[in-house]
Amino acid sequence: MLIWSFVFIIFLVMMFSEFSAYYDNPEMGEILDLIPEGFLEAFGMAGANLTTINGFLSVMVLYVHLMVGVYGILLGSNIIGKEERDKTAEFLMIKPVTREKIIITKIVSAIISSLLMIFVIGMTLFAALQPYHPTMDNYRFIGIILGGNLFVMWIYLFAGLLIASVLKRFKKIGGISIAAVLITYLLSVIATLSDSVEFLKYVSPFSYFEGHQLYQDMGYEPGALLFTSLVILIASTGIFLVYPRRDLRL
Amino acid sequence: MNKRRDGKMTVFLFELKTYRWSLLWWAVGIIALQFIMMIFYPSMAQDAETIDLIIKHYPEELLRAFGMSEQASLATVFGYYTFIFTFAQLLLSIQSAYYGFNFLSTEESNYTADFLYTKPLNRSRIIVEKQFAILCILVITAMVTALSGLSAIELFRDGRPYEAGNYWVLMGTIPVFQVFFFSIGMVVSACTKKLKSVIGFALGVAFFFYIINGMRGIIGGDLLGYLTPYYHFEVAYILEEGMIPWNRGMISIFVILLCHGMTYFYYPRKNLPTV
Repeated sequence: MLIWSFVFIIFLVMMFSEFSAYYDNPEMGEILDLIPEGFLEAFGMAGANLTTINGFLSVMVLYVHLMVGVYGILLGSNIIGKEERDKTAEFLMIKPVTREKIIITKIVSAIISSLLMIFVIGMTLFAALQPYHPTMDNYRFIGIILGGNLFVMWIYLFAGLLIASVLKRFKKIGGISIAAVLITYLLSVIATLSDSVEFLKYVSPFSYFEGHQLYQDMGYEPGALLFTSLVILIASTGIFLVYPRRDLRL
Repeated sequence: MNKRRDGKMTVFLFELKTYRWSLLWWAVGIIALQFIMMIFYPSMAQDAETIDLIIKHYPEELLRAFGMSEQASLATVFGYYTFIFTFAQLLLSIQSAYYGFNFLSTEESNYTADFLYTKPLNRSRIIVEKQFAILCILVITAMVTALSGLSAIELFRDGRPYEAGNYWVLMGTIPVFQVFFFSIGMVVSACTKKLKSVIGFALGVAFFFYIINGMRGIIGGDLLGYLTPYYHFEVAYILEEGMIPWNRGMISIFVILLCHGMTYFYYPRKNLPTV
């Protein structure tokens, strides 16, 4: 947890060090002014204007999603898998606590960690933005991004929990988690390539809260929220069905 | 049977055997990735050609502001393959980092260290043999990547031309790229007490460098680039120029040497944790 937040902070600070090269660069600003708004819109580039704070943030969103996605799935699969890996499962299960209670506590603690992580990211963004005199509008956008991050993290968190509950052998959990993140990330990138494969967007959580779309609507797509809650709901039902009946490998 | 036991390479052979399934799955993943992505190429190339025509009329600064200046055209074979290969690199880096973090810590977490170190082999010897085994696995993976990439290109390129020589130069850089990630993992696994979440570390390291490279591609800046091996062996550059940017590549090689030096120095002196 500590290491991860540290990495996140370094990472965001580094990105912002590059931002200074773009911010308010008059040369680029002039050229941008010359081009009619509608024209940019037609090519879907309106959101990616790197000279404004919001535009820059919207480009970064995918990468932050990727980081929190990896973090989420590892958090989820680890919190269950580690009991058997570290051979503490035996000890835990003989305690006078029901399995349901164990899993609820585990989920709650995972959710708290994810909220903390979002808090760290938010504070870092906030601090990194200070030199650029952010406005209310920027803060609102940061809030929206963080919300998106949180949802992405939760999707992967619950996916990780589900993977770890369903699989019998803890050694396989890691491999499947890696595959899940990589495949969904790949799909989200392919989806942006061409309109003919746009349906892939619905398969990959990374595309649910795209930076560009967040920037334009200043809010979430209802479909994305629906999918998120659906995924979390299905996954948690699965966890509660499987985990209490699970055989332990000791 | 006895004859083989007497041979000197017991650890080496054992390690090769341990990794064969893992190797198989990674190979399948990389082959599938390259073929599946190449399937999209013919239709993508047509779209991209029209987009290229439009983009040509934009001023350079504008493209830069939108972070598009470094994006090669998706219409050419190499432009599109650059895009695929970056993913292949991501897979390769996760694989290598995973092996690296597992390298010495697996003996401790599986409680096989006590057994291994009672054998009449000194520790450096064990490291060398284990390393050769991993190197073999990595080189096989690299070859699989190269051959499957080539056949995927040949299959779907629709008669569009490409420079085969440059392709092989690029493939030649894969082992260095792999060993970079492996070395980072290895030095950590040699120097830490007990490494628990191997996969967590491997994914963290691999994605960290990958994301830095992604950001560099969008917002530019050499400083970010020097940090990441993706830039040391920049795919687009190699495919275009047909040579390796050695001044950047040296950074990778330096990191590799440093990690190896630290491992060989530290590991033979390490105290094993008791069970």
